[in-house]
Amino acid sequence: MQPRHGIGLRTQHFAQLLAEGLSVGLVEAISENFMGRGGRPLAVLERVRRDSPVVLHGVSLSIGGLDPIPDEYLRQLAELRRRVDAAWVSDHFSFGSVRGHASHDLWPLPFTEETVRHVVARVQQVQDALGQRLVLENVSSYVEYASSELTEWEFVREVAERADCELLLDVNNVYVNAVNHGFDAKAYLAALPSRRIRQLHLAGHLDCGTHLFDHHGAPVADPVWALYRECVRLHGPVPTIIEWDEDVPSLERVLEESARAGAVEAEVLAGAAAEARP
Amino acid sequence: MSELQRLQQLFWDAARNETAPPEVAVDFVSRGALSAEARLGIYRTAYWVRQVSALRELFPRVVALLGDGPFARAASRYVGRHPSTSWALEHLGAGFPAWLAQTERAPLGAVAAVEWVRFSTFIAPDAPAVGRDAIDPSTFADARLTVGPHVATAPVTPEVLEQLELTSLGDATARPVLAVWRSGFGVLQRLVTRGEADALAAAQAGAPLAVVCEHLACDVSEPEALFEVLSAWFERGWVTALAAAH
Repeated sequence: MQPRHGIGLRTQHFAQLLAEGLSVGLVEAISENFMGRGGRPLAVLERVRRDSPVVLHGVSLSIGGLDPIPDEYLRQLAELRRRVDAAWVSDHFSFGSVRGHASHDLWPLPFTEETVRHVVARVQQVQDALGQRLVLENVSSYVEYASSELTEWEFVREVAERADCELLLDVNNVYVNAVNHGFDAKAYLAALPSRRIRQLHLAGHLDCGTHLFDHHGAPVADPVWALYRECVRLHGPVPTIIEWDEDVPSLERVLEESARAGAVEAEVLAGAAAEARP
Repeated sequence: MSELQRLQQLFWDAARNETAPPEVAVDFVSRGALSAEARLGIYRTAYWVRQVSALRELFPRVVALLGDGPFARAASRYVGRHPSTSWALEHLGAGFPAWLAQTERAPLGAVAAVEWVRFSTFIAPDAPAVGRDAIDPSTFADARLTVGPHVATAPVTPEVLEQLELTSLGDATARPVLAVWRSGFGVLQRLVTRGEADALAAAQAGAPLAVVCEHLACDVSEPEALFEVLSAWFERGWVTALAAAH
């Protein structure tokens, strides 16, 4: 079954998923919630994957960090990938550990040549361990480094090309960062190579007045839907996951949001096909 | 120190400390209504909220006993002293019971220890149980039992049982250890003697059956009674392998 649009697996829906399963275009599971674990969480993932393709999405790889990536982490990640036959494994363009201490957050990186070289080497290490291309996601951010030499999209593209990895493009994060740092979100999308984009994310954010906060606790905002349209127009159909982590609504509501992604995509593609007709 | 290393250390210091280091104003961009320091403050808030929330979820009974505010302050002090060193956020909870016992009250640490073993057994890796029919009487005396990671123990007192609202489990004076295990997707618990708890620990450490039985013999001397205790281990699904000792 080819991966299509779907949702992120959340504990709030576990009881329903265990009882009923889930037939959807794609299910994304947070890797660390299942690595080295058994019991109910793993049973839910096993149940879901009977009817839906699964991908793994990590939050602790710290690909831009300077601490060594633990061998045990990579071993457990590779084992989980095999066990659930994950179509791909993703994580973030970020760092999260410093001198052996974990922040459990996705801290942004300075966009410099030094960082590009560092991240590329680590991506290759992970790809060797997994035996497949790693997929990396652009993170939402609230700060910029004064020393950055590249734009965010230049940095992302450069790493993807040099490391031969793929991209998980979070459309909401592009929008949040465009507002927080004052750049053109469409220019960001246009600068990325379509062939590298393996997956998309959509989520809700919170307008704090002074900045947008990526809280994954609301429906996808209208400007983000507009940007998603632009993304489909530029890069074609790409499997899309709805992320919802705060005030998680019913499974049906999250699936509704995913269905909307499908409808928007279909509409954009139909429009493009009509335009292409002689 | 490379520039990347310096910046990451600075980020860490800014996220962990109440006031950001002065270099923040130089190394990070202020834009619009938000200064560089205020922008890093967003990460500082997220750091502390996330870690304290994780502890709150792991230790709901301790939260109820201490109250939400005092718990948040205790959890923040703990995170301040013992920042997470694991890629799994929940592992932050492993050292919390011992820290709580030292800094708050010992019984509160014991309550936390029970909550921690409940969580650990709930998510422990799956290991199929071995039934009693796997026992070969002719070699059993030399066998080595493996007790799975889905079984764990925590010492308790009558006061701790009361705080956990578990007094119905029995008398913690005679059986001062709570054995916790996962059965299906649920977590079960029962009081055991110190001898049985030591026997379980020995089996989990890979000790031969003879050593396991030595611990059990502290409480039961009759071979039949001892065999009964071991049989119950099989019935509860605690034993995940039975191999001949070498």
